[in-house]
Amino acid sequence: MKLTIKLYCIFICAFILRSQCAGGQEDRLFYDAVRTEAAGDLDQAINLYLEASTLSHSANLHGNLANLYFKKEQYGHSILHFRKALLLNPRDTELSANLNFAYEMAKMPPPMQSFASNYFSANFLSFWIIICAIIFWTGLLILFYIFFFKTSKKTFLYFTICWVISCLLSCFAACLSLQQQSELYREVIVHFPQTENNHSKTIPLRRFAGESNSANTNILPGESLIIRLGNDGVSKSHQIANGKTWYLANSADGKKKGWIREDEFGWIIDPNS
Amino acid sequence: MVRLIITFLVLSHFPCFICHSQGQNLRVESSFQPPSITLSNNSVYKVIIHGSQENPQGSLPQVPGLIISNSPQTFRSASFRNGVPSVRLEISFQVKPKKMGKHTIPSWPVKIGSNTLQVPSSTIEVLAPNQQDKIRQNAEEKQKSELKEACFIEFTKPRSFLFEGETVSGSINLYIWDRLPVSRIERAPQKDGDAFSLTELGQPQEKRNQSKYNKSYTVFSWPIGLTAAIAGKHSITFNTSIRVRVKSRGNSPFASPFHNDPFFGFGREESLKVTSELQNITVKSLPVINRPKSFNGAIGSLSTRSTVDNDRVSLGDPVRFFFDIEGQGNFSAMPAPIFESNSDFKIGPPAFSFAGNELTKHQGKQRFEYILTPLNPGLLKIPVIHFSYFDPIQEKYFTLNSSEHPLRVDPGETWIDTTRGELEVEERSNSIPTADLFQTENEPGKWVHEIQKTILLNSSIFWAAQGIPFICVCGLIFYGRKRKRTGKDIFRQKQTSLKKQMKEAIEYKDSTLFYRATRERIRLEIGSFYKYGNPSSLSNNEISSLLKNGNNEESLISQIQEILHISDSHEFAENEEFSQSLDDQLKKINGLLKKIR
Repeated sequence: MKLTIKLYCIFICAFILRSQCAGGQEDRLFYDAVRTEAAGDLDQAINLYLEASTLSHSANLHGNLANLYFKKEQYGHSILHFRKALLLNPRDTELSANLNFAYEMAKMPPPMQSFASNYFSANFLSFWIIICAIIFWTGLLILFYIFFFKTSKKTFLYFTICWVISCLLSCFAACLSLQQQSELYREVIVHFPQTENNHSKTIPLRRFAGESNSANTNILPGESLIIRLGNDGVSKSHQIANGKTWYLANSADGKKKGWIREDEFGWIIDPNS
Repeated sequence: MVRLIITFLVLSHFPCFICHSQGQNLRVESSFQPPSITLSNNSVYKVIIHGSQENPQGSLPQVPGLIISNSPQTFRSASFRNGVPSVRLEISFQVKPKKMGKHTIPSWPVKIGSNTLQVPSSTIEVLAPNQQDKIRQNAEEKQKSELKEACFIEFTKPRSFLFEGETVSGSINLYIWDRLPVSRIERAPQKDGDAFSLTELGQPQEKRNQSKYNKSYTVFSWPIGLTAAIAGKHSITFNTSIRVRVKSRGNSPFASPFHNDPFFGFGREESLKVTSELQNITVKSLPVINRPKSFNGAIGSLSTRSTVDNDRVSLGDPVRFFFDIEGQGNFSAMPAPIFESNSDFKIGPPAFSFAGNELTKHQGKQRFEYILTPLNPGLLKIPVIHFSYFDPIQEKYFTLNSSEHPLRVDPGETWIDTTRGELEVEERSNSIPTADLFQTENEPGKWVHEIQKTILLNSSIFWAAQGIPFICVCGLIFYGRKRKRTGKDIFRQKQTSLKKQMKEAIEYKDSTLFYRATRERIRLEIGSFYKYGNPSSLSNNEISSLLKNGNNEESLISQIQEILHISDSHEFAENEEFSQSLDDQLKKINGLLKKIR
């Protein structure tokens, strides 16, 4: 019995220690990256930050990574990581300012902030769902109360109409927000592949999945694309003979579309993570 | 052929001579007086017309080797010769010989009134100059030499040759002998030579007691910048005029005013032209070989320097770029270096400013100020200016480049849509200055395993939480249905309806309706209270017995009976004599019904 208790204690301690060690690894990588950056070795600092990002995420990590890419004038990567950082900390005005500056340096206008994108964005999805639930249940309770405990049919009728309209509006808001959320999950930021030295400074969206065919259109690094969904509800992709996967994407306004190689963009929210 | 037009003179005198001389024969004579002269002397050609004093008309022939004055002197005379009146007209022309030998004026016609006469030919002999003439000639040359030394212009050329477009500095010196009575200098020296251009002459510098040719002079100096304009061999002189005072005496032995002292007599002013010696300067063309593309005509010994007034600006803010050229050269003819706009900068035409010798513009510093407007944000480099010049001393071309100035261009303020809460955006942009961009965070912050939080719809807690209101709704439905089954709801509905009728009756002062509703309400509430099966069928006596069975007070029973009696009498006997108001009745009834046990 004592042996069993001892083994159990040892197992618990080992588990706690392991989890603490694992938790400290991203911290160690982060601090190493900061020191390396201070020493002037930007490439090594980027590698360390990227390694840390495979373990965990933080707004400061992606912000620092974006800053480094910006200093190396890789604006596509910089915008990608600023977007990630802002997802983690949407209220950080410094990140917003840096992102806008990166857009300007990439010779692109910042994304238009419309009413819909502000109040029905993916960030507001939870809010709208909760509002929708509150309106539905509160209204339903009041409706039954009026039905059973109040004699006025007129009140019952008017309240029913108001309740139905409120439910429809809140559901519509939640649907809009859900749609934004869906697009966010499929949103990618275009950047140059790390290994390729592209002199044209644009990235082509091809007519077909493959290198040899001509480009439908060209886009700048840092531009945002939405990966299209297939009939089965998953991202429309095609794997060619060399193992590279191509995705069918279109711009946010839908004016540009075409196939893009997997190493020519970065997911804002990685579907594999 | 010089046409001599003799003016008409009015012969108003001696009319009687004219009348008497009408009978005299007309005759013309001509002669030189003296008929033989040396080359340095003058003679007079005389034409004498006898028998008339009328002005003749005719043309004097031109003779090579003689200069005949075209302003003759006329002399009319009248006399009696042997009692016969005689008139004549003498016309005298000054004649100056040009060369030695015999010169003859041929016979020429002259018209007097209606008569035409032939002037006979005349011959003059011009001899070689004699000793006296030579002495006089030497004296004149000496006078000229002395006059030249008395006032002269000196211009020294810096080099024997110049290059086309080259500017050299120099000065024009006007020497005036101290004893020369100069009243003023009429004008600044003027250049005579189209192959050169000259800078504007300002006020001269005056230097006194300058010694030269054993004389004391006052020297007036004008600094100049002389630019060679046309290639080739060219000459240049300078001239000016000065005003001098001379004595009026005309019989000076030398006919020169400068050996007389004008201060001791009444004199007059005369203009005297002063000319410099002719200078021959060769102007060479600039070499074509190895001429740089950026050469724009700058010649001299020069150095350049470039500066900017700011190394960090916001997008759209102008930057002043200064390009200075310093040294000796043709600054007045030096064009601005070419500095063209590109994709990063919009460059305006330069402003010129020169610091140095403003008169000659040969030595100093020429500044070109360009206004550059950055078109893109980021770390930009100001384009390099290539400036080429030709060094006339080394006879070679040189090219100088401006420094490569880095310029940090911040994105600056962007246009903000006013419909999107401009104040909020402005505050946010103000709170984060561009200087604070891209600072490294030293702490990792809060770690999360996923960038995007789980959607609430996928959360089991959310769906579990929906059970709470669901249970509430179910409970409410259950309770409501149960309540409907017990009849309490019907009783309450009837009670509410009767209360409403009573209030409406009070409002419309309808006592009949009020008491009818009152009676029904009393039956309903007492019957329901004592669980009577059909309360609306209760009579007044049955209500009283129910109240008595409930051990209610006698006063309460009697008051309810009284109200029921009033109600019956009001409805069936239409007895409306009732003192209490309906409001008071309602309050009383409410109070009685609450007391029922």
